[in-house]
This record gives sequence, C-alpha cells and structure tokens, in this order.
Amino acid sequence: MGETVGNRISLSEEMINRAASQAMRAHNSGGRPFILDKPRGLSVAIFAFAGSWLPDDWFTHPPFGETKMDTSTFPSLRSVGNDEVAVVNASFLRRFKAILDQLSLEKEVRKVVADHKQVLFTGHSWGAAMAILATLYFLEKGGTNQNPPRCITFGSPLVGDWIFGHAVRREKWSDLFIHFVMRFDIIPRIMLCPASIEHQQILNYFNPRSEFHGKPIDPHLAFYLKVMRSAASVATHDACNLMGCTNPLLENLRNFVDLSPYRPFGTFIFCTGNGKLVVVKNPDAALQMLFYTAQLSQEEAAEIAQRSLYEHLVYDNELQECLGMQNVVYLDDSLEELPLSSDSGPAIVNTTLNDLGLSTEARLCLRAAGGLENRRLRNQAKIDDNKQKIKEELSKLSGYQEKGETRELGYYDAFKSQEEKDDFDANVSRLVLAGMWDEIIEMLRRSELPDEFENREELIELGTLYRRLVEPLDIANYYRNLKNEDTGTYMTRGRPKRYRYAQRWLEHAEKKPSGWRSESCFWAEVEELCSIKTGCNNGPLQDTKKQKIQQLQKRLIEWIHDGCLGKDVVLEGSTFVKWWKTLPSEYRSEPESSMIANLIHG
Amino acid sequence: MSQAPLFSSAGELANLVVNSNLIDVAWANIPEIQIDPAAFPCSVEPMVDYSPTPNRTIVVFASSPNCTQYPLREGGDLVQSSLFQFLCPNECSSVSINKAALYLFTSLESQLHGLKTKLSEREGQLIITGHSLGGSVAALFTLYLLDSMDKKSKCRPICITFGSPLIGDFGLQHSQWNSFFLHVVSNKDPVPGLFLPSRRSPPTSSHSQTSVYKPFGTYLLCSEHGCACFDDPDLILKILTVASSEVSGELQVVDYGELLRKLKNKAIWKGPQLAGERSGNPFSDGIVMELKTIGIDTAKHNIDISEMEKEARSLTKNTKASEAKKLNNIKKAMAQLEWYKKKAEDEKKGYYDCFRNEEKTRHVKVQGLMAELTTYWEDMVAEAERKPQKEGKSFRTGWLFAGTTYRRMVEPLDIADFYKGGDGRDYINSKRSQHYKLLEQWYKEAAKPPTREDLDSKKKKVSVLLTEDSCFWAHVEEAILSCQSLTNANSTTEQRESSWGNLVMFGEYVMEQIENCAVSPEIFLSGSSFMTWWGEYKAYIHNFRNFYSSRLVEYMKRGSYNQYG
Repeated sequence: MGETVGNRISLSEEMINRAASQAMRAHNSGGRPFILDKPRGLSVAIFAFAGSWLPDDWFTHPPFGETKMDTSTFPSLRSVGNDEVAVVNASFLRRFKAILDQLSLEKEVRKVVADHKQVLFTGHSWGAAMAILATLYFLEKGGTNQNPPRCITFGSPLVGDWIFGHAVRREKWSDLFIHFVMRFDIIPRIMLCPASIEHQQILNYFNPRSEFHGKPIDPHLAFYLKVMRSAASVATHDACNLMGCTNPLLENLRNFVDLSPYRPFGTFIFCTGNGKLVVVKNPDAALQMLFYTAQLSQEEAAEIAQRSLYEHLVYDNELQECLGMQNVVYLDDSLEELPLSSDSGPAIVNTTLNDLGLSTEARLCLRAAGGLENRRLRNQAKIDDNKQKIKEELSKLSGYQEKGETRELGYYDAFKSQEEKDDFDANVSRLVLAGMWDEIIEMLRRSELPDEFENREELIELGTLYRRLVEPLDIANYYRNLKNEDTGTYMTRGRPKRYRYAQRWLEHAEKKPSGWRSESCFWAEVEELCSIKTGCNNGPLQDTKKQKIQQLQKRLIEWIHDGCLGKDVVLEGSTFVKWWKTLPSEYRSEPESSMIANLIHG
Repeated sequence: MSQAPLFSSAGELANLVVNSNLIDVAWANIPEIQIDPAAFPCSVEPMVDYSPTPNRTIVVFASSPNCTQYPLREGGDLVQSSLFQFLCPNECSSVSINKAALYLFTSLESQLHGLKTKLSEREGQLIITGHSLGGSVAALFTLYLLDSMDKKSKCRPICITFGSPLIGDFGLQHSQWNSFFLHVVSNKDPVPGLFLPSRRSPPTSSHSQTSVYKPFGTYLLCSEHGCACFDDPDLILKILTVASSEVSGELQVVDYGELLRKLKNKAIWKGPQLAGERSGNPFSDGIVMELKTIGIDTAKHNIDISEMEKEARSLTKNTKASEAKKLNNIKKAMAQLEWYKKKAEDEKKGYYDCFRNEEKTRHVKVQGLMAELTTYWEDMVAEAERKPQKEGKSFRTGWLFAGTTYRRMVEPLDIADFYKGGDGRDYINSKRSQHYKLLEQWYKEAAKPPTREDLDSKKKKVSVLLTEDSCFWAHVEEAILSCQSLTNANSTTEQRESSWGNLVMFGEYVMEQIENCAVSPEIFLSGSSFMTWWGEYKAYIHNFRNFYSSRLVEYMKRGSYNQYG
C-alpha cells in the first residue's frame, strides 16, 4: 500500500481527524470567529474558524467578487519579476481583516508559539477560506526559529487566482496547505461560477437560519448544471493552454467568455466516496480534477445534484473511514504516464481513476498538466546548464572592469568610448549575456519555468552580479548612441526587462521596497543630470535638480560603502567625477561633499 | 533529451466554444427573412442590434431560405476582386472570392460602407454572424471592417458563420486575422463542401477553378457525437471533402440550434472511458478520438497523423524566447561589424574601401557576418511581405529602425563586392537585392520630413552617423567609371557626353548629401574611393575643363570637408 497519507503530508492521521471534527464544531462557535483546541497528548494547537452562509460574505460584486491582494499585509502574494499582484476574493479578505482587527487571534497564536506547540489552522467551507488567509498571514510574519503554521481545510471554496497560488509555491509554502475535497461537493467548485441566483439557493440550503435550509432546491438540477458549466469553461480553457494550443482563436475568445479568476493551490486530497483518497499537488491537475470528477452521467444526474450538497457536510465521518483504510493514490508521481484507457496501467491507479469516473478526455488533460510541469523543470535544467557560460562571460567582464581602472577612467567611460579591442570584446560579452538573460525573462513572462524559479538564491545572486556589472555597459551604450535624444531617458524608455527583473528579485528576497536596489542605474542618473543645463536661475527645474543631485550624492556614499557600486565611478577621468567637479557649491551638501572628495583622492 | 509530449487541443477548444454562450447568442439572432422568391433568387440583408446586452453589438446577415439552394448550384466560380485587394501584400498578387458571395456583398456595398464607419467607432464585443451565404457575406464584411480598424480600437470583433460555403482562395489565407473567424459546420451539412471537387459530382465547367478554394479561420466541426476545432486549412479541406461525400445528395437544412444544444449538454456530461490499448502517444490518441467524434475515421479516410504531429511540433517550437535569442545573435553580428568599421577608420581608408581591398582571411570573416545578417533580414522582410498591407506595416515599424541600420551597414559591403572585380556596372539596377529596396521604401514611407532642429542635432553627431543612402558607394563607383570613360581614348563622343552628364548629376547629389549631413565623414578619409574619385575628377577638370566649377568642386577645393563632422 506504500506510504500513509499522514507520512506523506507530515501530519498524523489523529491530527487530521481532530482537525476535521473541530472544523465542523466551529460552525457552532457562538459568534466567536474561531475556536481554539489544545488536545491532550498532541503537541498542537488547532485554530478552527467558524463558517458563514451570508451571500455578502461570499461575493461582494458580480461576476466573481475578486479584488487585488492587500500587499501591505501580504507582501509576498504577487509575482516578483512580472510584478503582478495576486487576486483574492474581496469578501474573504475583508472578513479576515475584521477578524485580525479583534486582536485575539494574534494574541492566542503568540501564546501557543511560546508554548512550542505546532500551530494548525483549519476550517470547513467558508471557515476554510479564513484558515487559509490566517496561515498566509502568519507565514508572512513568520520568524525563522519556529515551525511554520499548517493549514487543513475541508470543502474549501477557492480563494485566489493563479498568481496567488504561484506566489505560495514560489515561497515554498504550498506543502503546508492540505485541502480535503469530497468528490461531488459543490462548494469547492462554487467560485468557478459567477455570482447568481443559484449561488443564493445553494447558500440558503446550508444556512440553518434560512427558511430554505435543508430543503431540496428547485429545479433540482439547474444549480448544479450552472456551476458545472462554468467549471467546464475554466477547465477547458486551461486545458487548451496546458496542451499548448496554438489556435489564435483561443486568445480572441477571452474577449467573449467570462472566466472565473480563481484557481486551486496547495495539496488537494480528493475523497472518492468509497473510502479511497487521491492526492494531487499539481495545481493545473487539481483544477481538471475539480471539474472532471464531478461530471454528470445521464442516469445518476438527479442523485449527483443531491450528493453535491450532502457531501459538503460529511467530511468528519468520511475521513475517519478513509484514513483508516489508507487506500491512497498519489497522482503527481505518475501524472504524465497516466493510463488513458480504463483497463491499462497499474491496477490500483486505474481502479481509482475509474472510481472517480475520469474519462479518456479527462486523463489526457491530467497528462497535459503533468507534461507542462515537466517541461518547466526541463527548461530550468537547461538554464542551469547555461549558468557556467554566464559565469564565464561575467568573469571576462569583471576582468575588463579591473583593467578599466588602470586606464584611469573606469570601465563605464572606457566602454562608452569604444576605443580599444577590449571595449569591443566587452560589447560582445554584453550581447551574449543579454541573449541568455532575455531568454530567461521571456520564459518567466510566459510561465514556462517552475514557480520556485525566482526564489532560488543562486539565481538572485547571479542576477545581482550580472546587473551590477553589466547594466552600466548598457547605459553607456544607450548614451553613446544618443538614444536618449530620440527615444527618451534610459530609466523610462530604455531599461531592459532583464535588469528590472533582477532588481525585483533582490528587493523581494531582502524584503526591501521597490526601487531600493537601483544602484546599477547610477550612471543613467548621472547622464540625465549632466544633460540638464545648469545655467538658468532658480526655476522649479533647478530645485528638483538640486534635490536629485544631493540625493544621488548620499546614495553614492551608501552604495560604495555597501560594496554594491565599484570604486571605478570615482576615478579621476570618469564622467561622474568630471561632472561633479563642475557642480556649483550650492548643489553640494556636507558631509557628503567632502566624503566624495576623499573618495576621489583616496 | 527526448522530445516533450504533444497534445491536441482540438476537442478542448471546441468544448470551450460550445460551452460559452457565444455561439448560442449568434445563432439565436439569425432569423429567416421571407422575401418573395420570384422577385430575386436570393437576398441577404444586414440587421444590427446595437445593445442586446451592455457592451455588445450584434450584426446579423439574414439570408432568405432559398439562399442555400439556388445560387450555390452554379455560383461556385471564383472571381478576382479589387474590393479586397487590401488583403494582398502587394499589387502583384490577387485574391479571388466566390462569385455568389461577392455579388451579394457588392450589391450591399454602399449600405455596408456606412455600417462600417458606424461600427468601427464602437467599443466592446462585436459579433458578426450569418447562416449559409449570409455567413459568407458576414465574413467578407468582417474582413472589410478589420481593414479599417486600428490596433487601438476598443472594438473586439468575432465573425461566426453557420454552414457557410467556402469563400475564397489562398488570398484570404495568409491573414493574421484568422483569430476573428469561427465557422460552425455540421457533418450533415452539404453546403460547406459544395464547391469542393468531390468524387461523386461530375466536374462542372468551373471545376478547375473551384479546386483552389481554401478555408481560413477556425472551423468548429460538429457531429451529433461531439465537436472539434481545427485551423489547419488542409486538414479542414480533407474533412469537408469526406463529409460532403458522405451526406446524402439532397440538400437538407441542418438545424444548428438543435445541434448546438446537444453539444452544449455533452460538454459537461461525462465522456466515455475508452477501453483497449492506446498508442500511449497523447497526441495521436487525442486526435484520433477527436476526429472520430466528428465522424472521421483516420484509417479509413487516410489521414496521416504523423504529418499533423510534425506540423504541430514545428508550430510550438517557434517561441518568443527563441526569437529573443535570435535577435540577440543579430545584434552580436552587428556589433562585430561596427568594430570592423571602427578599425577601418583607424586605417584611414574607411569601412567601404577597407572591405573592397581586404586581404583574404578577414574578408571571409566579415562575409560570414554579412551572410548571417542578410539571411535574418531577408526572412523578416519576406514575413512582412506575406502579411496584408496594413498589418505588415505595423509588424515592420517595430524593427524598421534596426533594419535601416542593417541596410546602411551591410549594403555598402555588397556594393564593394560587386565592383571589386572591375567588371561590375550599374549595381542599383542590375544587382540590388529586393529586400534592400523594400527596406528603403518602407523607411521612406515611415520617415517624417526633417525639421530645422533635426538638422542641427544631426550636425552635432554626424561623426557617429552612418551614411544614409545605402547606395552612396554605388554612385561613387559609377562616378569613377564615368571619369575613366572621359579620359579613355577609345570612348565615343556620345559616351563622353553622357559620362560628363552623370558626373554633373553626381556632384549635385553629393553636395545635397553633405548639406543634409547625410553622409558619414569617413568618405573624406584619404584612402577612400570617394577621395580617389575626387583626385581623378580634379585632374580631369584641371586638364580639360578649367573653366568648370560647381558647388561641390568649390567645396572640395576649399577643403571645407575638413570641418565636416
């Protein structure tokens, strides 16, 4: 039978069962946002969030009720290089922040951490969404010396978009989230569907305070078909992309079809309904599973619609049974080799796929999801192979940089003059490197690399080294060819993406605000300041110029002090020094001025 | 490394389409207008609904029911149309369109012209649709509309046809507007395949013409069992041919509404779990399944899947990432040439003459760079050439600047090669490559007339500029030849006269270039061909036409060029 689920996800079965019962119990929390459970004998504290069935708590506005993530509370939830903020359900976010404002959550968590207990957030249905946001909140705040919090959800609605999941995976938090989903449960699919009358019907069905509580929904199939229709659109749309669809119609269709932004993330564990469990981590595969496992068949349609409601409420009992049986299939292990027909491949996998009713079409989609992820890994391996080449070119250029110092004008000005063979060779190295980095950036833009790619220390270091060493050459080339005259300033119009991305990688890793690490653009600022004429009197232009110059002097000292800017900038013959020496005294301020003078002569 | 597995997304894309409301909306809006059949054999009429829902406009080309029958019987001829000339990349090529559809379109032209103006100002979704011949006219109108819309337009059109016959030939094919066309075709509908040469129907008089029909856009091919989307024209042709040979002879009208309802249901109901051995190759397994649902048996109908797979693979290979890399290689080659140019200036000969008199080894190396650059730019120019006029223009503006630098950098070397042996005559008319001509033509079309300030700033940086006219050196070479002809004892009087005339013109040309700061100062380097020419010319004037002067002669004699640049 292989590994138990508990081992695989590093949580004991006992804990999972406990979490399930607490999550259900939290529905009756008596108005408190969560209940705290510290079971005896287990070194864990379970925070179970209460639920809500009020339509306003699910959707603020049609069609999908989404909003940009609040990046001051959740700074990691964005893509770094591409610089796009994740999208989250606005109601969930609003309600979670209200819970935070009550302060009791933070206080209790702090106490538990002080007791060296594992923090576990859990919730059922709407409460699951709160548990997810709480886990992320504490992960963002998290110190390094404690175990990261864990999150187990039961029948959770989808909370965020693709970037949301991408960011979680990039931060390597994905394994901390476990989502249990019953095969037909409607709630994990509900966010794929635009807000509608059917939504209300479903929520009313579950709401004990509603007059429709527990009553059959009329017409009995419409609500299910509505959700499945939307789920199908999202699933087939994503499947087209997974399969590398090249038909240009796909792009145009996006203008006409409203697709839900929400996507799954974390580890999904599907309960087949007959005691088996299927574990999927690949987010694209999880989405396909959400749709295909719940597909209707003609004979059982009415029964399935009924089950889609009923199954939302049976997690605790069902899990007790499943975890006892330990009949588990780990889909990610063999996603790309999934048997396509109902009677081939390993028996245990195939019986389970048959149990879930996965058609050949569904299996092709799952394979495509696995195939895409493997392709991303291969792309990454290819880039890793190139690293040596990047390093070689960089070491050539750092040799050039050192030599430039002996020429008394620094490599920026040497390169700008393009007088010697060395300058030309440096230009070729610059172009070779640009080619390799542009390829990486283009892959990132098209999400053809693994999610963790931008969080790899080696890449960030290499990117920073590259940026500091080579960007000055790009700037020199830009101003040598006078591109500022017909195109605009380097910073606004000329700066290549490869440097913007590399800067953001470093800023994100150091948790610094955007723009903090702009030292590699030093020369562009100097060039721009040189080009503003100093002649005319105290106009507003002069004031901003004065400010900019003083700011630049300050940062120059910091940067040289930190070692992220080379001493070559203060060589006698450099553009900077020549310009700086012509500055009238009112543009200089102390002590920076004498410090710079010292640098030049020291 | 083994190749990545490939998938066919034809079924998924089709499901996405039928699952959306898009085609239901289109179909639901198509009524049949009843027109007295005796009055006119067939008629099509545009009807516009400006806001069925906010942000959406629907244009329906309603057709009379007899449309499907009467004109199609003999309306299969293809005729050339000047109305759609804009689809062609240049004047030499042409586009042919189905006679019946074109006739209907032309009869509505004045009305459609007004409609076009109105619609191109609208924002949001624009659905243009029609059934049968109505669909053909809808497609023609969409093309007509797309030509007048610019990229910034907020109007997002899609044209959906139902059971329309093929519209035209290859001329409609090479358009990147393919993404705007969706043709819904049932395997029971004989109309779409009507103009195809089929095994059963005896060849008509226009048979040879009809065989050149080519589908364009995406076809949503449907049967009762399912549907699939394809955009490969040859595959679509094949499927249409198979389908039309299998429907019964009588023209029956397919109820697309009913068919779509069925398919829409199918999209969310559970599909079959196929038993039995599969090949394990997801592409071929997938596509066999997809073709089967629309009634095509790959074995029986002789469809080569491995060929399709090869094609799909080549499509996925051309990624943006590899394009970026290619562009950088080109930049690298240009940098190497620039360095070569710089070295040449140091030798006091100039770039052009250095290459013209180059020793073997370095020459070969530079030629390698030239070949690399030329291949790249010939491809780019050819690609721009294949696009419809307007789109080709926007495609090339992105790189026209780089293309111009290339032309100014590399063409002089081609000229040097041409005149090097000593027998080259008249490069511009006898040898100049087409892609240089086009690059120059496009540059001239895009360039704005220079202002006073432009000239001032040019003066400041003339030393880093390239000579603007990439054929400058060809003019110099011709001038040298003219000088030789003047001093050659064997020349006839006429030859001398024409040579002298050429030299006068050349003098004016050069002076104009100098005044516009359009030549690089390197032409005045002591070892350059231009200076060689000047030496010969000066000697000739001194000996034979001592009274002659021109602005250039004055300029050169005074040595003003020492101050140039």
